[in-house]
Amino acid sequence: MTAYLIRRCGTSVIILIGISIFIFGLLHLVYPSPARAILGPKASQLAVTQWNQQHGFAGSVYVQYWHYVDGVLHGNFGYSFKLNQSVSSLFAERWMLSAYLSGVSTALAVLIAIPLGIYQAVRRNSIGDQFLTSVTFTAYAMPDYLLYMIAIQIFALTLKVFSTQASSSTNLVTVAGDFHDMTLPILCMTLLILAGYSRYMRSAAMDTLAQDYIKAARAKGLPERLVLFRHLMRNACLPVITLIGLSIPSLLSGNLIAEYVFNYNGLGLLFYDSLSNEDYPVLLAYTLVGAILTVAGNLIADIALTVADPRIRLIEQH
Amino acid sequence: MKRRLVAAAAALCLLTLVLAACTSSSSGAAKGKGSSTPSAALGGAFGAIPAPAAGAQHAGVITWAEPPNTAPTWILPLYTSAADSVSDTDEFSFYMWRPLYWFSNGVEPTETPSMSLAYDPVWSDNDTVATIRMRANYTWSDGTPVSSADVVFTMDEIKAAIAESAANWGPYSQGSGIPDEVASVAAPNASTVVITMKASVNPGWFLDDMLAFVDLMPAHAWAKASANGPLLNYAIAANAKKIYNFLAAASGSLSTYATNPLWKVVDGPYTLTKFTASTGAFTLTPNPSYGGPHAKTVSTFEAIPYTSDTAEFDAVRSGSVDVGYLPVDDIKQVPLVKAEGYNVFGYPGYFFNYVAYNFADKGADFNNIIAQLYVRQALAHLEDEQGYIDAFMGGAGGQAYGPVPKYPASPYTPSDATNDPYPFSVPDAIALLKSHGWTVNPGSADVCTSAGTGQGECGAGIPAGTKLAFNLVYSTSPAFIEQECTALASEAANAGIDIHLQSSNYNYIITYYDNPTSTGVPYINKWAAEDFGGYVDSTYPTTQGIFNTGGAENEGSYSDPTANSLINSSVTSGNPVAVKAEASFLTLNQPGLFQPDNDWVSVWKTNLSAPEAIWAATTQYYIDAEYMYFTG
Amino acid sequence: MSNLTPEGGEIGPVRSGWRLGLREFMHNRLAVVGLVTLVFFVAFCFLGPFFYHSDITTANLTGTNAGPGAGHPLGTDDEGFDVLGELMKGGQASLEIGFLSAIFAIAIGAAWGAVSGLAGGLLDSAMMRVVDVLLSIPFLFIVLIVSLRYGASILSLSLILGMFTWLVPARLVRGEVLSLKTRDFVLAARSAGATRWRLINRHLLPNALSVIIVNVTFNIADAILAVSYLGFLGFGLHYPNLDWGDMISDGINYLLDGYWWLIYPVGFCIVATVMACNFVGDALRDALDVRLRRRLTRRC
Repeated sequence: MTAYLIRRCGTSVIILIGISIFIFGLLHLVYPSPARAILGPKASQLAVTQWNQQHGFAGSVYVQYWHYVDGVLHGNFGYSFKLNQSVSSLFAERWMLSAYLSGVSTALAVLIAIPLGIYQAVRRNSIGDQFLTSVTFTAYAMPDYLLYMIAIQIFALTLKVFSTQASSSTNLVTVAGDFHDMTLPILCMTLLILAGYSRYMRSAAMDTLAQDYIKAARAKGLPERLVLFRHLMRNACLPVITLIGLSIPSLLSGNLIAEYVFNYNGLGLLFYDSLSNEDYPVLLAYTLVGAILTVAGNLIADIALTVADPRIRLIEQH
Repeated sequence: MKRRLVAAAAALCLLTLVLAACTSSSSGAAKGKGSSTPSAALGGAFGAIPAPAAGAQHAGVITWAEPPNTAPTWILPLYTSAADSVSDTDEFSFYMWRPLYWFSNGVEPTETPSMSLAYDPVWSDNDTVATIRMRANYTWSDGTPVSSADVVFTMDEIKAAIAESAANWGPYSQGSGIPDEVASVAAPNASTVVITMKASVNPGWFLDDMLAFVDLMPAHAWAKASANGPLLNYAIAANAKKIYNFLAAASGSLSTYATNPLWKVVDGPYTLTKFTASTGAFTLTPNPSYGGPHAKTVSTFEAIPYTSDTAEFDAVRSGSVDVGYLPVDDIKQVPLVKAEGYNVFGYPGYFFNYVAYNFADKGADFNNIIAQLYVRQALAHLEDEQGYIDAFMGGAGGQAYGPVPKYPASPYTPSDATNDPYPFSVPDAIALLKSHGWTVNPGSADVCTSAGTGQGECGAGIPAGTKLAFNLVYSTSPAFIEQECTALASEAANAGIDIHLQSSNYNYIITYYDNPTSTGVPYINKWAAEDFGGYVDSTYPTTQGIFNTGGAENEGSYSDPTANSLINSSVTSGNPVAVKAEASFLTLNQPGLFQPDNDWVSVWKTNLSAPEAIWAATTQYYIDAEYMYFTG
Repeated sequence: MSNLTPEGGEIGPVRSGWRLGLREFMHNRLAVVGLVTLVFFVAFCFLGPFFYHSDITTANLTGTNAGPGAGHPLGTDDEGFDVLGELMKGGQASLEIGFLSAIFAIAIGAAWGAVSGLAGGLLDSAMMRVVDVLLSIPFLFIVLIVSLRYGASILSLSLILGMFTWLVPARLVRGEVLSLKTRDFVLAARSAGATRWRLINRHLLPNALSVIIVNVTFNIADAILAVSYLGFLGFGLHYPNLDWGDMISDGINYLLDGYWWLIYPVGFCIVATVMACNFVGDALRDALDVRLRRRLTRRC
């Protein structure tokens, strides 16, 4: 098992290196230098060249890559010239807000998804199951922004219960207490995450139900309740661990859309603004951080599964 | 020649005296900027400005909506090129440090002498020597009067900044103006500055476009190389360089803006007391020793940042901000906004929007096609400016036919700017093309059937069979650019001009579709026309740098000898309104397709008052909060 | 009742497996609804313009943002174009991009996965590491960055989307190939002298096909959604082309003005199409999944 973990971590490191090369190379291809974008159209060619030399954009791509990686390993993610701040400090200011939005939505979604999935699997094709299935189906098929717009239209513009914009504060405590502004984004995101989860939960729970050992448990005469709790729950929960780990990328993109629509000062909105500002260091850093988080999520999901499910360990050893 | 110059100089002196007489004021209650037009008489206005309220005035906290992406990133009045590209930069430092000359007067880009730090320069020696007399009423917040030493200090620091990098001073243009054409700056006494130029310059241009950008810095407080170090002699280049590096480093440290004692020495109406770097929020408190005109009691000024226009409009709708703006998309909501207790007034800004043509694009002989004036005229006939204003700007816009827009009026507006030389008419466009040897195929592409350089033929370098089709790259923000380009392409199709639209963004366009730059060289033949917005007109609206051959901002490599000589004369001749001829020629010659100006629509609470000209100036991005007061 | 259906299910002629699947599919009411909806939208978008004529290329600056009324059942947009006509044209692009990118994804992914699974060993490891690397990069961000630079056309958008969605099919196909590789029938075919190509074509791919088909359907749904996201954020098609996402991105500017016809009809089209694809995909998976089938046949 330790060998497996070590191997798995090693693979992750290789993947991270591969990611950094790919992202850096791609961004360098698309935006070789932000000089002109930063200095504006009035700057002379001379000024642009001087700027490039001053800020390390004049060397070959390999040299630049090396400098960048060197910087990252020392905690320096680059400098945003457009905003006159280091990328790390930009991220430090905003990551908690994004984490809050995603975290609360994910937590709520998981809390609802597990019992929901079990209910749907056990009461398959009942009225309740069908109703819930159609709701989650619709949410799953709906683009995020459409759901947000509908929610804003109904709850903020027509009923005037909530605000059309998320909290504009940068203070986490203020944001957390601001129910008037934050309820809509959180509830909508929860619904979207839930939709994704419950599809998996339903089929995972169904699969588990079909397994022989459930039949064996029932044949043994165990009360249904115990069957559900002891076996179904534990085995159906495994996908959730994996799901949370694997849903990091969709949380990141989900954040982007939500923050754009609700004007929430998180990392996603920063990314979107940096796109139009051509703020290359921010784009590079954010994509890299996103990839790192994804790899970490996958790793944690894999490890959790291995620890929890002996079957996988056996297959791996085989 | 000499007599004409003397006469011109005399006229200028007279003009200055008259202006000074009209607007000189005693301290205390806000006095109107006498020479600006009352809003009711302004042509091209959207909405109206109420007269200032009489009765009790009191101070308070004025909240102002800071538009998205305008968070200040630089505080030093000697601002960099990078900072210059953020639209609000000099606005931010203006609250604290005043420029030598203040060129904003209601909606007009003319001088308000009472807000200038000096009297207009007096020229001598064939326009090579400018003698400037400082006004007596301004002091720094620590008591030292604003003097000529500050002017010399600022000029020396500009020189030092440019010596390090051309990108260190926004208004810098290589070989022209300050500091390249300045031979020396001297201060014979505390209230006089003598600037000697290397060659004659156009006095109108030099005052409006160069001296007006000299934002004075306090020599007695900032001429040092470290926070607790001694004052240095900035006349020595090495010292000036050290001083500049020190100041620039301080300006690069956003988190210290509100605490660094450097920034507490101000001559403007405000001092910065709070600044949040990540959002761009800031608070300014009144500077009691401000020597210029202001309301009886000046209020605190608070900037509230918004991440998008929608967010800002939301705040306006709920009445939570005192001074804000109405985004273009929400122009239809004026009644809603008024019901919430706001006044609404919009006016076009002093800039020009245009579609730049690429005169160097060899793809499909476009360079030869666009070199023909009749083609550019035909394209101008396909633009329905009023239609664009009504449909895309909700009526809040002004027509513009050349680099100087029709509104706001300025002393440099040529007569051509008042009437459209190429009004919207598809038949006229078709007639122009037909009469020059093109077969017009509405709905598909026109084909040149009579090639050649004679009468009724297409023109040099256009072979028979050439199609009139090209690409137009546009920026997707603001939204009306895409709308205008779409409408243009759609009308052009009616005349058989096949315009292929390509969306992009502003930064991408100015990086890659910009012929004079090294990044743009590989793309010279990849774009025929581009629309990234336009340029703000300088007060003296010469387009030097934009439309002269070899200009740094001449994206499309437009090159016309008449234009070159007119632009040169704008900048060097003795005629203070020489730029009119330049603007007139460019209006008719169409180096690009000039488009309507969009209004900036300001909204402000009805319980906030100020002289009419102040509200008018907000549409030109000047938020002169020191004149504003709460009533009732 | 003993288990009659053989594991794997392909020693008998493949036909009966499909027929069983088809019957199972048609019994699923949602699947039929989904299929009918898809057919409807394809007809609406591609055949509709022949019956409903509208001008969506000439700007009409005096009739912009008009509500539903005479001549314009769904109103006009900010250039005066008819919204219903735009829905049809936009749908063509969205469906085309959805379909094309799914095809790209499957073609690249299946080939990659099959080769990787069959080869095994170091090559397999390396190929899968590449997949892992690309899978770890947030899809939306990369696509946004790339679309900024490489202009939007139907082909380029399909390529960009396909470039990042072949990863999951690759993994799935490899998984199938791996599990099939060790089955008795493959060993039998090998010992009978089957070449690698024959193995892939006659035995492995047909069995992996069910996985592939299900994945194609979901890929189409995801691609339509992805295109709408791109369009919404401003990176979709532009005049004279358009797609559904582009229409919504114009519409959101007017959310506060109440021009509902710019937003909700398009939104409905997107949701309906994607849901229909999901229904069909789910039903296909249910129908073609061997384990489930075993359970169901026992019931009847």
